[in-house]
Amino acid sequence: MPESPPSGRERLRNALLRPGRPQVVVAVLLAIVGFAAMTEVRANQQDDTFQGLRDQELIDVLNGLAGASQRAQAEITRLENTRAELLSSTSAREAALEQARAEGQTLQILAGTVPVTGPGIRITIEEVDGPVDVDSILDTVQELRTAGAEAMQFNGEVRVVAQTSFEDGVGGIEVDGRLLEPPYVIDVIGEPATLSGGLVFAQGPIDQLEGDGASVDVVQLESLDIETIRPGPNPRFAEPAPTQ
Amino acid sequence: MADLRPDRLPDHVTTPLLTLITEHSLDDDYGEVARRRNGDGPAAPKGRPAWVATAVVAIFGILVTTAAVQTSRNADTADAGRATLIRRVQTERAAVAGQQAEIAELQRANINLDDTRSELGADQRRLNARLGPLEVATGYTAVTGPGVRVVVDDAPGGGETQMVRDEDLAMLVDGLWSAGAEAVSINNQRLSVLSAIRNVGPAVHVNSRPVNPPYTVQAIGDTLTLQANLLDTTHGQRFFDLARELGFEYGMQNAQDLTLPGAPGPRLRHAQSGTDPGRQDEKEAGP
Amino acid sequence: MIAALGLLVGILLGIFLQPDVPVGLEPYLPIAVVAALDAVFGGLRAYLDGIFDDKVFVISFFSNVVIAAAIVYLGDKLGVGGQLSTGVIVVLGIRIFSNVAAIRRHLFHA
Repeated sequence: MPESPPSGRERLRNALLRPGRPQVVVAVLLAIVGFAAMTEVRANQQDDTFQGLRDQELIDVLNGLAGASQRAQAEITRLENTRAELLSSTSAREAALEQARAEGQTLQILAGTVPVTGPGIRITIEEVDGPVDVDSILDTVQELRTAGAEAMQFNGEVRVVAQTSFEDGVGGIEVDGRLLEPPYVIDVIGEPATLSGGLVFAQGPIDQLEGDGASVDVVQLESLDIETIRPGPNPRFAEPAPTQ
Repeated sequence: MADLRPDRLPDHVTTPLLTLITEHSLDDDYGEVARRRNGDGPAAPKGRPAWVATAVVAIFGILVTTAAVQTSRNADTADAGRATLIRRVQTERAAVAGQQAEIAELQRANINLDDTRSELGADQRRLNARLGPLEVATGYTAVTGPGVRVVVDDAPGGGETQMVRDEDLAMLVDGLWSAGAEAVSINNQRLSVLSAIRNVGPAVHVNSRPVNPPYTVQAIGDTLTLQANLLDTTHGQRFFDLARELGFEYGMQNAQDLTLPGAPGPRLRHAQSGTDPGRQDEKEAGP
Repeated sequence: MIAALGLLVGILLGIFLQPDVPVGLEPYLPIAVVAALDAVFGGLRAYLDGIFDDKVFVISFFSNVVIAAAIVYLGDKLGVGGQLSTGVIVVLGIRIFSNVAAIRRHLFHA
């Protein structure tokens, strides 16, 4: 009675349990195939040098790179233009800032919020025969301003600004609401000779003060410091007018 | 109507292409000729055909060898061309990588520049905010606000002694400052710490510019207290006493929308901020 | 085997003469060689099958070469040279494979 042909599974089991010559041959050939395949896979992975590409593929790669290079160049140009704009805008702002800072320093000096130094004169007024009239002080200040006074200080205590006012006081003069007693020392920064010249002419401030019964001494200085400062101004009613 | 049942169609129509090629890979002519020969008569003598066939095989040999030789000759050029091509690809790749690095660099730099620019903008705004009140108080910007307007004119029909002089205006202005004015102008000349009111002959000069009567003195401040305070100050009182005595024409009233221009300048020629000459120290009292 | 002799003679002639192929024909040389190969293997198989005929062999040889080269040339002119040459190579390749398989069956009885 002929046996039914062995099923696939049975054939496989037989092959595993009883290897014969055909099996060995197949094994050797499969080994060769496997080795060749792995070699190719590895060579492909490591192929960074384009050795494995056909000429046409190389040309395609080259074209692709040329296109990428062009786009990159366009982007670079665009970025460089942006950079040039930013640079010019930045330096314009820097210049404006510098200018504003310089103006700011001048304004601070004029507003009396920073100490000042420079050439000038020191006026010392001593009451000898009578009290100094506040009018004479006002007149002195006006003459000094005409003579180009840039900063003034009274008795090392009060810094003169545009709003500085003078009042009669008990035993002295109120400068900006602060009572100062004689002798009055006025430190003025400006051109020393011009400042002095503004005081000494006939019927000028010195004549007036001496007429009040005071003695006046003027010293020209190459450099003097005015260190009294005021707090920053805070106007409540005056506002910058809108620019036309 | 044609009969198109599949079993009546010839072979070369029904078989797939590749199968067809495979089945007919040996030229049918051989079979045809062989069938004809077997059916017709004796085979052709073998001597002559061998020559022709041999000659053709020889030609085939020449063809193959020529192709091989040609290829080997071109190999060098091909290789050199290929090597050049490969070099170009590598060069181009490096160039593109360089460009992309440059792009990244430029983008970074641009971002930094933009940040710097924004910071500068913020610095500018801060500085302007700080300078605002300074400009208003020192008189170097136009200002607007409520306050008082005083108009003074020489005594009508009076002589030289009844003309308004610099010291008179100086007293009025001093009174206004003392009364709390924040900004003062005479005939639209704004008064700053550098401003002087001075007679040059009979003419009054403010900021070294002539002003003519009637003199309009505008002062910005608290309208509720300015006039009252003015009459309380030393120089305010002296001014009005003098004005009455000499016969000046004058009037004073509150105003809501005074506009004062900025003073010309400023220019400092000698004063430098700081206490040591030649070294700039900035000490500032805060606002 | 006179045919084998003929092949040897042809190869030697090719090596010694080293003819220069005109530049215009150069690209079609490989196609011609493959077409010629197909004809040769076809002839060899026919010989082993016993139905070899020299006239058929000669005609098939030259016609294969000329037709293959002409198809690729036409394709180049039309702009589809690469694709047509691929097609021709595919067909010739299949035929060569098939003939060589038949020859192998004859030679090795496998």
